[in-house]
Amino acid sequence: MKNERVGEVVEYITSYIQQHNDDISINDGSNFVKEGLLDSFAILSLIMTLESEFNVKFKPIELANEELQTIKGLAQAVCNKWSS
Amino acid sequence: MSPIYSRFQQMVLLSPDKVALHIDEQHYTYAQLLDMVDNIAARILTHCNGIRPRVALITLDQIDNVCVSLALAKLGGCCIPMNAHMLPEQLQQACEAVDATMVIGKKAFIKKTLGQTQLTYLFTDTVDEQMNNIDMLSDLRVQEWMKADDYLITLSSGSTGKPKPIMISQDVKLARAEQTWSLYQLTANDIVLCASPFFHSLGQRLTFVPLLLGAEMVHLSRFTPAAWLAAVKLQKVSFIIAVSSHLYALKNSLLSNAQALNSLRTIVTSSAPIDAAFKAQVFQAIGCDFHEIYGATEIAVATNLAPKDASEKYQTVGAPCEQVNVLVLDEDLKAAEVGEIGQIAVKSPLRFNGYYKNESLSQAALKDEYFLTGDIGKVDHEGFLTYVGRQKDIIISGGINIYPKDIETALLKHELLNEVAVVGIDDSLLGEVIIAVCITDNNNNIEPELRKLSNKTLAPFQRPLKFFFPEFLPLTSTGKVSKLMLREEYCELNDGWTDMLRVMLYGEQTDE
Repeated sequence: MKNERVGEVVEYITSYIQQHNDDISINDGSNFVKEGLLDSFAILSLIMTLESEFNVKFKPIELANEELQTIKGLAQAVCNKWSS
Repeated sequence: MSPIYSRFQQMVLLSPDKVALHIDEQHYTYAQLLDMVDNIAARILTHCNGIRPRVALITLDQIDNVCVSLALAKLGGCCIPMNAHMLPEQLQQACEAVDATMVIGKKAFIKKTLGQTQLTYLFTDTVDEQMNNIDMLSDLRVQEWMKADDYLITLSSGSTGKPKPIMISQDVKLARAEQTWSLYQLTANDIVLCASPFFHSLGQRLTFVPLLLGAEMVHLSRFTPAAWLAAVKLQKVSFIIAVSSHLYALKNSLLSNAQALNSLRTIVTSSAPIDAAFKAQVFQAIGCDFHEIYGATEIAVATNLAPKDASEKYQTVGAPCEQVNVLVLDEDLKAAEVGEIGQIAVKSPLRFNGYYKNESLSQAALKDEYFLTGDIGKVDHEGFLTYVGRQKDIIISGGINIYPKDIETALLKHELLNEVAVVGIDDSLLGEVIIAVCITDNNNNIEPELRKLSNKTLAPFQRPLKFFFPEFLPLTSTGKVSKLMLREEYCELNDGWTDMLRVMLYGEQTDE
């Protein structure tokens, strides 16, 4: 169940990033921080939107993990929180 | 004759082969830049249909900003740099507000963002097959256009409401650059770093200051502390003006990289109260001066806190610059007593030329030639100004002016929201962050829906970081929502809301 919903969250994040960058090609492994896909405000807005939409909460220290700056990694982290 | 273009031409004649501009791995000499400027000027003149070009400049590429702005100076046109991160609807509204006749930028981006409009599009990544061979300088139209006093229009907010278009003439723009050269004794040997976008007045200032002086400009397309440090080290940058959020992010790195930064001669900070002890530490380690300034796009730099005064007057933003008068006015707009808090008013020869097409607002902003800043402050017996806060309902987050009313209007489109007050909360990283305090009769959680609405209708810098749902909003004695009380109440709750950004962007560790 948890993994089934990873795809849903991946799609949600991808759609959010594409809303800010129409023409770029991104994949699940894209790092939206390092690749400059989102500006500072859009990054903050993404995290807050995920927290509110999927009813999860991130601690800042968790986001130091670069894996969580990729679409797949962040989606997985959201799903992991449901079961923890 | 264009004051800006002529000055630039003089610099090209003095040192044609000198590098004028570094953008990432690209380098442009003064002569190369002049060729590009002349080319784009000819294209603009060819496509403008004989009408004075009023150009919405919508691009993320600094080379386009430099070339188009100088080309428009040559033609006596009007340059309106816009924030390319605004939403399509916001960009269209901004174009209408300034009567833009032409849009310049990259083809794919402009077509995708604006679609079909009545405006003439000119793309910087395409080539014109035919260009009219016109002697621009003797062209009678150009001579006529040169008389206009709105060479540059800075939009005070990338908002959904009415942006305040601040007009600045070529003469004033050049005089502002001269003020900076004189204030910090800059010469053609200086290397100036610009890490601010061109739609922001600081980004414009850090473009014209080096290029009209024959100095070198280093442009950072995207700020990160690592990129900033690498650029300063590689290009031996000597002069910077830093916004508060950049300086905060750099604070730790400045001391630990002191050896690599010894080319820095002057750091100017604005609205970033860095304590005197830290400034002294940086001076000891790097040997560079710190200046604190106070100003606004409408008046340029009004006061400067020079290093010689920093230890004694560290709580102030300095004394008035040459030919600038600063007054503090009471509620009746009469001069306040020394030490009394009131509105800061500034008389300066570098004053703007008014708000575009808004004579009443332009008049209301002045009192006996003094510009009413809307900021609150006090002056001591030696004339040093202390900045206290803002009178206007405005939020400054990450250096961008944001109008709460625009955000409130957007959120109130949600049918279950009865009332909302948007305020700025103090934040150590961004200066302020936006919160929305919402009143709704609905017991369900509507935050996800409000976030969706924000993401759809507001630019990222306008979106509230937090939403709160109390039972009522605090009111003043006259029955208005008290934003002062809201700020006080919610400021206490900010226990590091932007720490996640600090961690992600800068790799800084937090306590939790």
